[in-house]
Amino acid sequence: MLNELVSKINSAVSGANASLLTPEDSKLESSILVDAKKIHAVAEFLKKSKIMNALQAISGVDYVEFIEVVYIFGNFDIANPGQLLLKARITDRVNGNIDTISDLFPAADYQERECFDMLGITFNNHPDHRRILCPDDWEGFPLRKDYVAAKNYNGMEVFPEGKMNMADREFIVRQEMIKKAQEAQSGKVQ
Amino acid sequence: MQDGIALTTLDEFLNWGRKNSLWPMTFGLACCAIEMMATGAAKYDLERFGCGAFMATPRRADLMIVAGTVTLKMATRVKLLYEQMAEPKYVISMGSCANKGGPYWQHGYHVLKGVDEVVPVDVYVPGCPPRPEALIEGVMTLQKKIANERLLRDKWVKHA
Amino acid sequence: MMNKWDIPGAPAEKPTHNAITEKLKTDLLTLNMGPQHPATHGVLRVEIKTDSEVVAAAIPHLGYLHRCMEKHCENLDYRGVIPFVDRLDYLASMSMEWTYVAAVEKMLGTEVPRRAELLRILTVELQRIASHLMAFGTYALDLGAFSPFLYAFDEREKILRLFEEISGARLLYNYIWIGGVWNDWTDEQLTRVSEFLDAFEPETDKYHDLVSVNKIFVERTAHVGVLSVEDCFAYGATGPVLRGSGYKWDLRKNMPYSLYSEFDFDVPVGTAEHGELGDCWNRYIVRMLEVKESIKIIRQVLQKLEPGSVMGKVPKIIKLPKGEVYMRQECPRGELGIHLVSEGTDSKEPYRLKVKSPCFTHVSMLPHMAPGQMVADFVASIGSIDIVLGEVDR
Repeated sequence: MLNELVSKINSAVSGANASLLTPEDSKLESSILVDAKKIHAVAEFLKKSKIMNALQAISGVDYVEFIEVVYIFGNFDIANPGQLLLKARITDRVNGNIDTISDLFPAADYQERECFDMLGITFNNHPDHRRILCPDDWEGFPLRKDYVAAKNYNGMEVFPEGKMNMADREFIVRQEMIKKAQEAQSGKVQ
Repeated sequence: MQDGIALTTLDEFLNWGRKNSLWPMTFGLACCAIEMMATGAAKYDLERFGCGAFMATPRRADLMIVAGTVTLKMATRVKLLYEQMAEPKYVISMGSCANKGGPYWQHGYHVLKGVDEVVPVDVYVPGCPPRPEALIEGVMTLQKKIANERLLRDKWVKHA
Repeated sequence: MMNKWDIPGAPAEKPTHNAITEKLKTDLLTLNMGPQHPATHGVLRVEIKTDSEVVAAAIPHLGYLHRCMEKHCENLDYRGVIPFVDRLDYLASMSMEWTYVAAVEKMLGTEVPRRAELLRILTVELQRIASHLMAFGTYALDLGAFSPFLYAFDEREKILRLFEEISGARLLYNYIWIGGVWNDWTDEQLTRVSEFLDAFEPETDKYHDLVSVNKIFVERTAHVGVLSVEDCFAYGATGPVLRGSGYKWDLRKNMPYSLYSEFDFDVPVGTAEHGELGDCWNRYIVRMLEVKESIKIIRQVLQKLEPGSVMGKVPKIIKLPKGEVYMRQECPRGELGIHLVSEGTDSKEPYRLKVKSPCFTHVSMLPHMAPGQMVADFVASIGSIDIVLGEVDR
C-alpha cells in the first residue's frame, strides 16, 4: 500500500524523490523518505488528496550524520483509518532548515516549535518561531546526541556536587581511577 | 477558671494560635499536587489539623507546600511567590523531586536539584509521591516546630 | 456565544475589537494567568490580552514542568523507562505504561498471555474512571462548585485503594510490565472490583442530577469554547475533545488493539442536549458517559477472566531490532502516541523516544478558542479540555 503512495507522491510532486524505507524486521514500521526541500508540497498533496487528514506529531531524531524530521500523520476517516510516517533528512547541523507546514496543518505550529527547541532545526516561514519548553535564553539543543548540559543557569547550579550521595561520589571517583589506570596501561603497550 | 481566665505565657499563646491556623497556598507543581489535593479532600481531610484552608494567593498564606518537580524555568517564580508571602512563613518540600531532584537527578538538564536551592525549607517529606499520611505527618512536624518558637526571647530569625 | 450580547441596550451585533479601540482609544490589558493559578490545573501560564472583560488573544507559555523525560529515556534500559512514562500523565499512569509497553512488545514480538491482556484492560478502564472522576471534580471546582470535588475524590480513593493493593502505589504504579503485568489479582480482589462497580454505578446518576443538568453549570458551559470537527482535525485533537464535537472516533473501536474487538461497548459523542456540539458542556458529558462505558467493559472483563499466567516469555536483557514503531492508544485525555526508535541489537537503550501528547495538542487550541470569550469563560474552556501539565511539558 505504501508503494502505491510513493509512486503517487512522485508523480504529483516533481523532485520529491520519495522512496520507501523498509526495516529488516517486518514487525517494525515502514516509512516514506522525501526530499527536505519539497516537504511543503508533499504535505499539501497529502492533505488535498485526502490521504491523511490530520497531523499527529512532528518528531526529530538525531542520527549524528543527519537529523531526521519525522512527520506523523493520521487518517481519522472511519472507513479507512491509518497512519503514516513521513521523513525528511537534514544534513546541516548548524543552519539546518526546512519549510513549515503550519499553514496547512495548524497542529504543526507547536510541534515545529518543540522540534526547534529540542533539536535546533529552523522552520522557514513559521509564524511564531520561538522556544517552547526551555526558557528563551537557553543555550543548546537538549535532544541532540552531542548536547552537554550547562553547569549553571541564571546563577542556579544545575548539578550541585555537594548534594550528591557520598556512595555515588566514591563510585564515580573509583571509575575515573580505573579509567586512568587503563589508559596508562594501554599507553605503555603502544 | 470561674471567670473564664486561663494563664499562659505569651509565647505559648501566640504559637498555639499560629500552629493551629496554618493556611497553605494552592500551589501544585506536578504529581505530588494530586496527592496534596487528596490530602485536602474527603478521605484524609487536612482541615482536622488546622491546616486546610487553601488560599489562592500568596499574600494570605502562611505555608507553601512545594508539591512537585521544580524546573529552572519555575524556580524564579517559586522564589517570587515565597517572597510575596507575609511573615511568618513556612515551607514544606513535598516529594523526592522537591527535596533533591528525585528521579530527574542524573540527566535533568532543566530540573532544579531541590527547592532548598532557592527558598529555605522547614520540613522535607520524602516519597515519590508521598502518601497523604506522610504529608499530614510533615504538617504535624511543622506544627511541633512552631510550638517551640520563642519569638520574644530570641530575635525571630528564620534563616540567615 | 451570542447570548452574551443579548442584554438590553447593547448593540445588536458583537462589536469587533478594532471598532471599540478606535472609538474609545482604549488599550489592551495584558493579564498573566499562572504559572501559579488555581484554575490552570498545574503550571500552565497563559498570557491573556483582554479588552475589558473580553479576551482578545491568549498565548500559552509552556515548559514550567519540562522535566527532560525524553532525555532520561535515551539513557535507561527498556524496563527502566516505565517509571518515567508513569510520570507523564500522573492521573492516568496505567494508560501511559500500557502504550509504551505495547510499543516495546510490538518491536520485540512478544506474546502476552490472555489473562495479562484482560487484566491490563481491567486496570486501564478503572484508571479511566478514576481520571474522569478527577476531571469531573476539578472542572466543577473551576466553575465554583466545591462539593462535587469531594464526591469525586471519595469514589476515586476506592479505586486507588484497589490499585494500591495490586501494585503497592497510589498514583504511579509501574504495574504493567513488558510481557505482562507485575502481579496477579486474587479472586477476592476481583470480587471487590465488582462490588465497587455495583455501588458506583448509581453514584454516576447522582452526579448527573447534581451537576450535568444543574442550571448554573449549564449556563457556564453551554455555547462556550465551541470547536468544530474541522478545527479538531486541523489541530489534531483527539479523545473527548474530538468526540465532544460529535465525531464518533475511538481507537478502541476504529483501530482495535489488544482484545478490545471482543468487547461490546458504545463510543459516546456529544449529545447537544444542552448547548451545541463542540462546546464545553458536550466535552464534559462525553467524559461522564465514558465512565459508564468503562463500567460495562470492566464487567465483561470480569466474566471473561480465566486462571492462567500473567507474564509472557521475555529475554532478561531486552534488545530491540533496528527500526522504529509509532504506537497509538486511547488514553483518558486523547490519543497517546509513542514514537520509539531503536539503534539495533547492540544497545540496551532506546535511541529516541518521542511522546505525542494529547494535552499538548489541546493546549495549542487555546489561542484558537479564546478570542471573543469572557475571562471567566476562558477558565471554563481550559477546564473542559482537561490538561495535565506533566504530559504537556514532559
